[in-house]
Amino acid sequence: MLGAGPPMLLFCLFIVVPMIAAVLMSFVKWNGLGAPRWAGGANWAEFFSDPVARTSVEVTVKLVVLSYVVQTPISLGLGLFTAGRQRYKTVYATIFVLPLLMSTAGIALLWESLLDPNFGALTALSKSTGLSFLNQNWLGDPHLTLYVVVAIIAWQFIPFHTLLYAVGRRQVPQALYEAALLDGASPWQMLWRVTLPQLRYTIVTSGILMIVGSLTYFDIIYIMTDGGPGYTTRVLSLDMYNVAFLQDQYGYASVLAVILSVVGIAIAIGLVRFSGFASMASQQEGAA
Amino acid sequence: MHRVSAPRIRGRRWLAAGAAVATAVVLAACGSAAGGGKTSASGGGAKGKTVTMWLVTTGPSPANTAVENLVKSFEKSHPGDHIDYNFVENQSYKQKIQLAMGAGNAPTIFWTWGGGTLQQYIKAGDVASLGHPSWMSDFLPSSLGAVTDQGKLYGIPVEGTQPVYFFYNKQIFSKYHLTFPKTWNELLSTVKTLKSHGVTPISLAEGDQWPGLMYLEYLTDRIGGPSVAQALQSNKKGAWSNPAVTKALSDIQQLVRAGAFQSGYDSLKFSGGGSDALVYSGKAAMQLMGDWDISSILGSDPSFVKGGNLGMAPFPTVAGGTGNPADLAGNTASYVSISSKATATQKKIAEEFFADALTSPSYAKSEVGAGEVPVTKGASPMFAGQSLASYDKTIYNSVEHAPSFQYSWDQAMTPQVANVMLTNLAQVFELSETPAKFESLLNNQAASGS
Amino acid sequence: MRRRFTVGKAVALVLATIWLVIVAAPLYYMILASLRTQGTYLTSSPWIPSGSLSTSSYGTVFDAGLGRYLLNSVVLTAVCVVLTVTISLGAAYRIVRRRSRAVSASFTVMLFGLAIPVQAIIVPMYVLIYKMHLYDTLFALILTLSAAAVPVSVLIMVSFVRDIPRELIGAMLVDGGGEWTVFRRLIWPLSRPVLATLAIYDGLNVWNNFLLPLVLTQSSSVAVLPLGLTKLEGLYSVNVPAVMAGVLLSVLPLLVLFIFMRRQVMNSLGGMIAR
Repeated sequence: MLGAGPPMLLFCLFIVVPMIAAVLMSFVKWNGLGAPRWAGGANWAEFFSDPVARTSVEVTVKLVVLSYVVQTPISLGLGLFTAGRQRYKTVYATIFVLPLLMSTAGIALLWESLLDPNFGALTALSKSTGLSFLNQNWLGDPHLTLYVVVAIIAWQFIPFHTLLYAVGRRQVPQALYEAALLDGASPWQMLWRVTLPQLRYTIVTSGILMIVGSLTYFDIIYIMTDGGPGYTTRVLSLDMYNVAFLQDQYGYASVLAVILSVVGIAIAIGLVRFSGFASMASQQEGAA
Repeated sequence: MHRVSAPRIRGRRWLAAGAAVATAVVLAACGSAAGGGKTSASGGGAKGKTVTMWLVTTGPSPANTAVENLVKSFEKSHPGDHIDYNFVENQSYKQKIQLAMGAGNAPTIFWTWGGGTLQQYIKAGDVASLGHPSWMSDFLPSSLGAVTDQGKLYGIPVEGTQPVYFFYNKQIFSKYHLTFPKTWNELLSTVKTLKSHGVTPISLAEGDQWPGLMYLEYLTDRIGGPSVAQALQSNKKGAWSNPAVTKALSDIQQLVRAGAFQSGYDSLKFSGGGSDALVYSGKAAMQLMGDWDISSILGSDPSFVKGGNLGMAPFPTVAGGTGNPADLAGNTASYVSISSKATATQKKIAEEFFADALTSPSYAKSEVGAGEVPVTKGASPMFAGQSLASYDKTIYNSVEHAPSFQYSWDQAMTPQVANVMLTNLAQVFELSETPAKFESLLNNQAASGS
Repeated sequence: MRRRFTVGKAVALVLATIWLVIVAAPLYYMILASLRTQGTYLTSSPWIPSGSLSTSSYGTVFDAGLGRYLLNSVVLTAVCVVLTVTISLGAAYRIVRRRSRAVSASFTVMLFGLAIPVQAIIVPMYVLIYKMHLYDTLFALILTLSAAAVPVSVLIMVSFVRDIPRELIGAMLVDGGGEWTVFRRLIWPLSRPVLATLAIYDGLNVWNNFLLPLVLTQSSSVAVLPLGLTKLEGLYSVNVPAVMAGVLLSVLPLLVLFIFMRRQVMNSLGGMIAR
């Protein structure tokens, strides 16, 4: 078990090999049946003239940025809060984690019925409390739906990042806080001078998972909006799914897959190199 | 910087070697999968006298049970034969069967809507032809078109017919002294009247996209007759610019502008039951839907249906239109076909299952018992004594006598066109796309897809 | 000073309680909806438990064979988590200690896997599994889901193992321990909290995965929970209360596991690394 061999073997056989096949497929026309036809760069040319793909790229970028901006501060705050040792904080933490434990299909159905504009629980709440802003066409308003989707994805995944931050906060040596307290630091200063610098690696890890995760995010959007209204929530992974499995254009779908993977890899490697992980690489390099 | 780059170069060489091996493996795998016309056991290791069968689930409902019982009795009367069946949820099924087909691993018997998707499989040589079996004459002629290609039959109906009608709340109509509109103009004025009383005229589940298509199908037929849809389905050049399509699309937008649909119609899904609830709770007056809506509403609010409050009416006529008012649109039936990759023994068992079991009157009877309307000839007397007999009889008669039964376009057309059509039609319903734009997009898609 | 501290704490408590409501209110709604029927869940009050309530949805869920799917999911998840977490830790240790160039290169290669969406490679993956005669087995799911979890797991483990002071490892090696001893006596116990976090992450990904079980299996004997839940969906309708009941039931075993795991995560630390 000790070594890079076993995971490498699994990874190469079931991920790398299929990925290479996907790259090859991006150069053929294939409807999933019969023999593929060589297409050269035709699929790739199609990408640059496809307005739907361009929209999908824009929607994906919005989703990734919004997800990061929304999830990080909330997760960090809740993580620091639940890192405390008081009993009631354990209770809070246990309730906080519940959305993470639910199957995605269940979450989608739950929010669909909550947000139903006719019978939904929010509409009912709006009627009984008079808060009219709660009565919206949440999943049908082209100006609103992407934000609703971002919020639901946040609802599902903030618990995990909260957990990461809570674990990270517990690892910070108590001595550092005691020293800061002796220097007369306020709690706010301690947050900036001790907690955040100490959580650097956690922030990077959580950031990579968040960004790469929302880049390829699919499930909730597929079930709830299927990309609509119009193309306002059609992220790239959904576009790829539609092109492959509903339009039977596997070659072009592979182009989208390759682009999605390459962008994701570039972001991941960029984050690794230009953040805390990079110092590890050079430090190790020096040592070796 | 160069300290970091050294292992990267080594990594690349390592990767190159891996890639070479990987490519070889994948090419070998794909090559034999795609080129393999030779017969092999189908459906993941089914052997000998076992055949596999994939069906789309209708939920934990009586229709599933009817098929299960049928398999049981078939296995009893054909000792040694075994049918290993599996129900799959509808939305996931398309992907599952497509992958299995592509890899030559399809089940012996597979469920299909027929139409454009089945035609792709036929073209790729994945479906076994049934020729001209004697049981063909047992079924209503309109029910076999979706599984017929160049005069040959490729499937058999497995579940009932599903034409589309308007379903309406009779209480609302009688309260405001309305009768169900017979023409499009009457429909528009009914909409106006209902709105003036604060009732949502029409419930629409456009979040699913296919409910809106029903309007386009019917309007096109009422305006230009069945030949318009036939031209669309064969991807004729410029077919989408037909004036009947243009008029149908602008009629749809007229209805939207009249405020006929409930708020949030563009995100509501039929599956959650919301669009039904609008009708039976009296918030909306009517809904255009397939005949499954009867059992769907019965499941949610039995007293509403049993109290005789659910009305059913054909789609209105359009002034100046050439289509026959008795024409229908919807799913003629759902079907099962046989994979061409199955062994000779498996094919023989499957054909026996078709000829002996699926065509049997007792199966048609149990379908009726499950609330389905079968497409076998002479089924009319079977409905006697059923709780929904009056609806079922009307449906059966209208199917039997329909001059044309237009198959749902999203199933009839090739997948390349169908998906784009649904997405863009939803935008027509949202008034964010003009009919002209819709038509030019679809003309292009049809040209590139064929 | 003391006063500001209290104000800050109060604000934190208020904000956390707001989030608590955001999480709990939908869950409350879900529980209530699961106690209604398909016909009444939409038309009766979503927040007040009035009218007729019944547990019949829970019966529907068990009739649909949820028990079997639950068992398959538990087995699959447990095996995948143990497999992934163990091999990732081993790999991370080797990558950080880095004795060979191939090992360091493999880390770079694995980073490539971070952003490959499964939908992108599902077609070749399917062909591969089929050709390996693994179609319709739990084994196919174990291999593919573990493989998909490898990149993230290795990344997280590497970032953790890297933080273990080199002096500790050095000291143990000087004392005559081999690499294996260092791994077993030092790395393994120190990694427990991270392993638990990772186990939760990987476990949930496996538990929730729908696409791979859908296309790589067909028999109900190997069907997992996400597939099982779709059996409550019909051609045109979804039994929403039953699905809600099913989801709530499936959360229970995970919740128990989480409470246990969290204690592991939170208590085994206490500044071990600092010392």
